[in-house]
Amino acid sequence: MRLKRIVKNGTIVLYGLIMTSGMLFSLTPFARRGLPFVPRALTVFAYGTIAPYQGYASESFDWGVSGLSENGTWEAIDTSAYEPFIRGEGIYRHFRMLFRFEGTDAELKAHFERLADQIRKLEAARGKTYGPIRFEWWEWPISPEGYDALKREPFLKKTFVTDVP
Amino acid sequence: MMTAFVQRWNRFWFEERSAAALGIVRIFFGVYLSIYALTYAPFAKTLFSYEGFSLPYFENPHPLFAPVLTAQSPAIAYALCGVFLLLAISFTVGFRTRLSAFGLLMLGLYFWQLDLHHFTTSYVRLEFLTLAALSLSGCGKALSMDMKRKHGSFFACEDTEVFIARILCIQLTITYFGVGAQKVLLPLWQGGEVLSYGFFSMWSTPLGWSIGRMNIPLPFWDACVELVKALEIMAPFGLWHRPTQLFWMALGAFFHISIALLMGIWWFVFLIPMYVLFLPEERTATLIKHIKQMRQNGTIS
Repeated sequence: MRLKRIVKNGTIVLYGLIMTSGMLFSLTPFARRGLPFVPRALTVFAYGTIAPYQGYASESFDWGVSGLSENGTWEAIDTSAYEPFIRGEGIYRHFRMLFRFEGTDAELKAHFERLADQIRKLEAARGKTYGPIRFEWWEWPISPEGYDALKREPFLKKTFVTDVP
Repeated sequence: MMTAFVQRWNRFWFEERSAAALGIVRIFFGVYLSIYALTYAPFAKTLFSYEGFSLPYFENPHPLFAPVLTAQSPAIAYALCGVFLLLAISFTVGFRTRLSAFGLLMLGLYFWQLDLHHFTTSYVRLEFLTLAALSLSGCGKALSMDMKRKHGSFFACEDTEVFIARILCIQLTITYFGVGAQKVLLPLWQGGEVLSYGFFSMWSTPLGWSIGRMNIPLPFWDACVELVKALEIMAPFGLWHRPTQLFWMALGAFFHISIALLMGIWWFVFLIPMYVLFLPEERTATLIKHIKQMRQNGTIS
């Protein structure tokens, strides 16, 4: 009984320290520092439970995935066909897949190779064969007509991310 | 003075109370988890199998852990989604509650590292935290099949320590306060643009889009942003303040439901039933009594 109480009091203190660290991390948006003795992973987790909506941007965006087809032209691949998400979740995931992967250059290369392999495999199942896969970040102006209304030339701004042979 | 502090501390964290409030939270959270699982389960092949679009969190796991850290066949993916759904249902009705909660936690982590890690948002962390807390709590000691087996009635309630309920209340307090405080500091939240442009963002629903098209002047959204910040900072204190807590609960529910309808970010609705943990015991006991009476009178089945 006494040991149980000690463990629970210890849990309260630890939880308090982790949340305090997360709070400090969140309230120092430019320095991003928590308590020095709390592991960063726990600080970031705690911060994640108090992170506000930050989805506003003055442009629309999404990833652009293209594949080099057998006739030598780059064709846009619509990955939404195998992504059962609402638009926000899908774009959030695309952003993370392109820009939030942490690791060495070799690990980053392997990450994009895995991603390209998956897309090739899924496209092959739909009867499309692609060689190299290109990943880009596409931006276009906001329009009251709809999110994708101006997702076309000449409004598209394409930022190259990587080619996977 | 020290003794008085220790007594108050022990009363706040370790007092024995009816598990009714935790039981209510368990039922709503279980229903939420069932719906959540149903949104992903039909796409198990795509999300959680090696034939899909899954990029697991761990790239080259140790062979010993490979079976649980890499995607398996579509059949296994569908089967595990089915198990998750069954556990969510047994958790909801309070059948082998702790075991169900623990199973949900483990399967949840499995699905997270296979695919859901790509969508690491606040709600996912809060979901795991809530599930872990409930798996250690006495949430099966009220409104449950476990109680029916033990005492002969689904409505039987046992007492349980308030420790976990308090942790969940503190977490909600910190979440609301932290979100509000950050909005005071973040450059993004210094004007109404975050709301007016938000209706044309990737999250906006058709309803949100139609509000955006109304072209409401920016000063209105400027005022809304200030109001949101003020309410989010005040709400956590309001939830603890008994004379006004029902008002703050209604406001919190309105806030989360509005976000779900306008932005499609519906996942935070599971926080609404957790407000019941802030209520004094007599209020939850009265609530249970009413439900029981309505059932006996045949008003509900």
